[in-house]
Amino acid sequence: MNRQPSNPTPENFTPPDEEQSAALEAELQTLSLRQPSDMLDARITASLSPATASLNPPVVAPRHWHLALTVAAAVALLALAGVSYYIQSTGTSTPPIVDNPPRDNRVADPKNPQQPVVVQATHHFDPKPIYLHWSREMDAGTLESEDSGPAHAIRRQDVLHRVWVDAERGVMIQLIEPRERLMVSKQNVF
Amino acid sequence: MSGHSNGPRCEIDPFGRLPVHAWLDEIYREHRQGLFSLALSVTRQPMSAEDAVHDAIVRLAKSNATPEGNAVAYVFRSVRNAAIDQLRKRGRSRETPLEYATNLFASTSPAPEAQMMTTESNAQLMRAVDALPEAQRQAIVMKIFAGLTFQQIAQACDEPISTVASRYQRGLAKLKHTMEGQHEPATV
Repeated sequence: MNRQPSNPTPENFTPPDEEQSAALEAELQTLSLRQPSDMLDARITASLSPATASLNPPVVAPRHWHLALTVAAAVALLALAGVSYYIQSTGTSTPPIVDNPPRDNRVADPKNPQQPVVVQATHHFDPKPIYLHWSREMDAGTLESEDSGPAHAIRRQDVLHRVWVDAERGVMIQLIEPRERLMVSKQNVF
Repeated sequence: MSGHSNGPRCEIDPFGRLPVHAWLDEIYREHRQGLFSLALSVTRQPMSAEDAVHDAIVRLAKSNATPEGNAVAYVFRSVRNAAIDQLRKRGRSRETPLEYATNLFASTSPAPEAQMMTTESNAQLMRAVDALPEAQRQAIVMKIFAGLTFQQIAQACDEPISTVASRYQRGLAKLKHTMEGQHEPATV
């Protein structure tokens, strides 16, 4: 199918010779082109950079990967040891199970607000449900109110740990429920 | 990717696979201006042109495919196609009237330094290039401003080399004719 060109060649069209073409090409190359914005570079960089990690996951392991893995494992072990030591020193591990434990109700001393005190610990031995509960109270300072005057706030944190043990069937179910409450008691100014 | 005389210098990883984003990034850095000018010659709007370049690069990165033939021409063809897609999205004809179009050159910059540096002859040449038919304009943009060979331009446009070379020569002839007509003294 013969198509008519949208812009027909002029009747006096003569192809430029090589010398004229070279001169015209040289003049064209001196023209200042419109530049793309810096935003385009940022878009391209952002598109290619994360794609390197997501679309093309690295298939080549980094150099000295075994050394990096060893160092990471050592750091993890140290971190685990530190956490274990911290748990033991602060007494957050499970209290020992005893028969007929005494009930101890103590309230945190407002004069020494930074020291948490274990208020209550209750243990029941198998076959009944084992119920472990420890909590602590911390002084949360004084709350000021124009309407009701100053009030003493105590923050109470509980960790309710329930354990059901069926020794005959060898089944143990545990439920750990953390709770936090702010108890406010009004202080007498006069 | 073998047998490309003008292909990018790619670093091959120890497993022998080419990182697609490495050669894409290299081609973009080397032909940034040419890619943008080609897209602008099609879309006639800078924002659409940047979107076309970005969309083409992202599309190539996601495809993760090995380019067929010359890698540079492959990227230029993707940008050209993306620019045409931008035009279709705008719902306009492929030829945008000049009064609504943004030209390829920086003479329209409001900076007085740019205007002072642009001679009247250059300004006429810029207007003549912008007034060329689209096919001839694209051939001149890719040959002169992007520095591609006729073979690369033919691959980018998916047309025979003879057709591309003919369009380029016709474009130059039209420019020469326009400039000679501008320089003709007025007859009294």
